[in-house]
Amino acid sequence: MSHLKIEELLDLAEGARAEATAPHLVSCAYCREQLADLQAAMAAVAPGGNEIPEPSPLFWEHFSARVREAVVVETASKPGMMDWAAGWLSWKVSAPVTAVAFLLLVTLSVRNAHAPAVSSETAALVTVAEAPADTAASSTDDPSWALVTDLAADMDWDAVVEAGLAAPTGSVDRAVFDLSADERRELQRLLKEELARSGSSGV
Amino acid sequence: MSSSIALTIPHTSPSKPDWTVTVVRQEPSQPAVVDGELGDADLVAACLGGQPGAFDLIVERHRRSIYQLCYRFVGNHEDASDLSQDVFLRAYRGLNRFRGQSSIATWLYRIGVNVCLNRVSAKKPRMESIEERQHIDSRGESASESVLRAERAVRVRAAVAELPRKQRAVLVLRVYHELSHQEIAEIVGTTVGAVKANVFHALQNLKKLLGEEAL
Repeated sequence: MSHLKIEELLDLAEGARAEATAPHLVSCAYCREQLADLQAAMAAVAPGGNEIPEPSPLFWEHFSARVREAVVVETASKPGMMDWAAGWLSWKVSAPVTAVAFLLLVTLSVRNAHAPAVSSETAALVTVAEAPADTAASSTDDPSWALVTDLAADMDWDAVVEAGLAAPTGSVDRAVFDLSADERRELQRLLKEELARSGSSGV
Repeated sequence: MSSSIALTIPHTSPSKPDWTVTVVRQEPSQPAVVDGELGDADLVAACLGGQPGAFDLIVERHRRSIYQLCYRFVGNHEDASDLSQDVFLRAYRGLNRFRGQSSIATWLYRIGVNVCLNRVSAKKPRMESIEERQHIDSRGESASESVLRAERAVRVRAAVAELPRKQRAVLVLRVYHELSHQEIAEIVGTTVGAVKANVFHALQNLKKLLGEEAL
């Protein structure tokens, strides 16, 4: 003889199913006892004798006002840095960025391995330092240039950086990052050419 | 609502008025929500559209049931009030994830159960004393009957608080919020069969906890 299942007993106890539909109950004392226990427990916890204490009538308005205030605070801080950071750090964004950064790193490493021991940034500085003397000479005739040189004469490198006049760190890398593949190849060729020339002239 | 009127008065025919009036009405972009009969989807859309008062309406409609749910878990007014506020704040944060596949009530219950279960697992609930229950309506009862009923209610709530978390959640939702097994299954993320089994075992455990005399 198989007893009633849990679901069947619960349906009977909750009244979702009439006892007449479970003839097994008539012949099984165990299931009858189980059902009686369930019904007794249900009666004990029934809402009739177990109401929640009703808060003061003023509570509900006060509660709504508290939620409203919390929502206002939430709304004010919603477009904050945390959300931005969460979006930025999500894999959808970070994965491609990481991949591109890795490719850039590999590209730069390969280039440095084949190039003489001078970085592109240093090469650019060398190129600027070696600007033709006639350019400097001709600019001295310009009164506005003279004013700039007068003003900048007392500035050391740290002051220049602090004033934001120097190229920010990584700007060369970012510029390279924005180049197309063809442009990068062309840049690589020009740099090699320039470095080879500098090397042959003894710099 | 704002409106503007443009008049065009040509001077070609002074005897016969030949002018036109154009009235351009501009509908307000974000009307305040005042209609309490809006459906769940409309209310959520209004909230997401930034319409003032839309979330207030959601709070107003569901605050009592959420408070009662929280009270069943923590057993005192202060914690129930704090938890209820937390439920609505979490709901506000997650409004854009509400897909309308269930009702707002079911969705709020789901948040409420999660908040309450997290809370009760971190902190043993402080059940209120009988004295705190004195404002329950007890008209028609003698003083002794009222005290006995209050004592019994406190014992029942203490026994419910002893139940395992999931059993407690499904019992509260079933008995005190009168939700269907299907709704409870959606709220706690399980099957109808599992809900019935949890209710069954909860009732069995309650019988043991309360003892014969209380039943």
